[in-house]
Amino acid sequence: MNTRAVIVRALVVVMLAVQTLMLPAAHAAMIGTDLNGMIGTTDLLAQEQRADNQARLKAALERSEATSALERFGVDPAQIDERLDRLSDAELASLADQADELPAGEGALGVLVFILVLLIVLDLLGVTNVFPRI
Amino acid sequence: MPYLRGHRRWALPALLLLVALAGCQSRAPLSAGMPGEAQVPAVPFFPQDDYQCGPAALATVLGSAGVAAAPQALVAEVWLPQRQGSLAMELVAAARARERLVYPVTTPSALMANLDVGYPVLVLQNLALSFYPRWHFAVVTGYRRDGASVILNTDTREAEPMRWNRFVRTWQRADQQGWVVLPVGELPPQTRPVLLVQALEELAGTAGAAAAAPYWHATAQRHPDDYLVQFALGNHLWARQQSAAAIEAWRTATVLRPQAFAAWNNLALALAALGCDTADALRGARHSEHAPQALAALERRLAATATTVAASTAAASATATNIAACR
Repeated sequence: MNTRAVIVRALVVVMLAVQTLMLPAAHAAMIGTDLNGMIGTTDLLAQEQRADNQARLKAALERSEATSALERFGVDPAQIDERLDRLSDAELASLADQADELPAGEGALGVLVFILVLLIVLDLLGVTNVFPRI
Repeated sequence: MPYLRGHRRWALPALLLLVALAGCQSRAPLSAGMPGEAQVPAVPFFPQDDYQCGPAALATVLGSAGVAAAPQALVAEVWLPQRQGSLAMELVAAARARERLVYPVTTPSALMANLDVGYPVLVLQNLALSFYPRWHFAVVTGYRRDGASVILNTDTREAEPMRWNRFVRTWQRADQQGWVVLPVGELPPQTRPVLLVQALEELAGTAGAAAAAPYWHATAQRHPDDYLVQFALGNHLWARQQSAAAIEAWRTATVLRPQAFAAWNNLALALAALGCDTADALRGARHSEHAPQALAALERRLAATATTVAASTAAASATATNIAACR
């Protein structure tokens, strides 16, 4: 009798516990018709920002003055391109901003300065070895 | 030394010289068609009290964006007595709290372009040295002599000219941080989709989606062919319960970048929520670049939604009103 009561009570407790745990799940499934499961804008932003900065840098490096400057330093543009992945988001953003400021057209001077900054950054990261003393 | 061989021997010193020369640009970069001088009209002026350049500068750009605010009223919000100053972050947040979009200005050409169309620019300057900084907020309200000097509302002086190369050094020592505060529904002359979407998100986060709505309207017109803008516009409209318009924006996003999963995901869930057919959207999601578990979660949700919508008695009437959105 006593043991039976204990078992019944235990069963009730277990059932209640299971119900409490299941309820939110069932509820979530029901309101799954709304915002649930939607991908938020902030979820995409960081990744989009990086892609945007990389694209801007790439565009600057593809300009003919830039390619010839890199060649003069004996650096393969394709190699730099692939190594830009190592830069932090902030470094990438700052370089991309500088690239955007380069004067269009005959601004070879600006491009050279920019390439120099880029090489120094990459040198510090050990990617290239143009200035071995840094 | 053997490590500098051949042409490299002269290349490095030559480049360093070029860097030095480029360092002293004496004029701001003006793009073609910009006048030799510009002054933003009717910028309010608030001479600062003591060290309170932050509140004064903020009140100035807010006034220009159509928000009347006295610096004294802003002090409690943005002035830190211990630091005897304000943090840039807090100034920006205070402007957003007044339902205005704040967009970063971080390059000389962007600064000039904003002045040219009539938006004063709030800038952070370091008036001393990089290792011994003295931070200062000021508002650039115009430029003169083809960009050889800028006009600032700064400390207790109104329309104070400052030589460009002096200004730009103080600005560079503060990492060229600057901001425009925009009148309702207006955008700065040059915008990059990622930065604009981020600014809009931050505005919605502080002041609510309704505050962002007029700026979103302008953004959708400015960047109709940008995936991120269309995707985020869909999210904004969905949060504003404009389901049909949201679906339209997500559809556009899937056309612009069919390989992106996010827009297909949201489109499918929205269509399902309205009781529309999701087969096409689900097919798009399957063909996009996705994480297997993300697609599995979407499929699970769509299956769950299909049963709940079918079971719901309101489904019939809901579907009738949403037919237009289903298309």
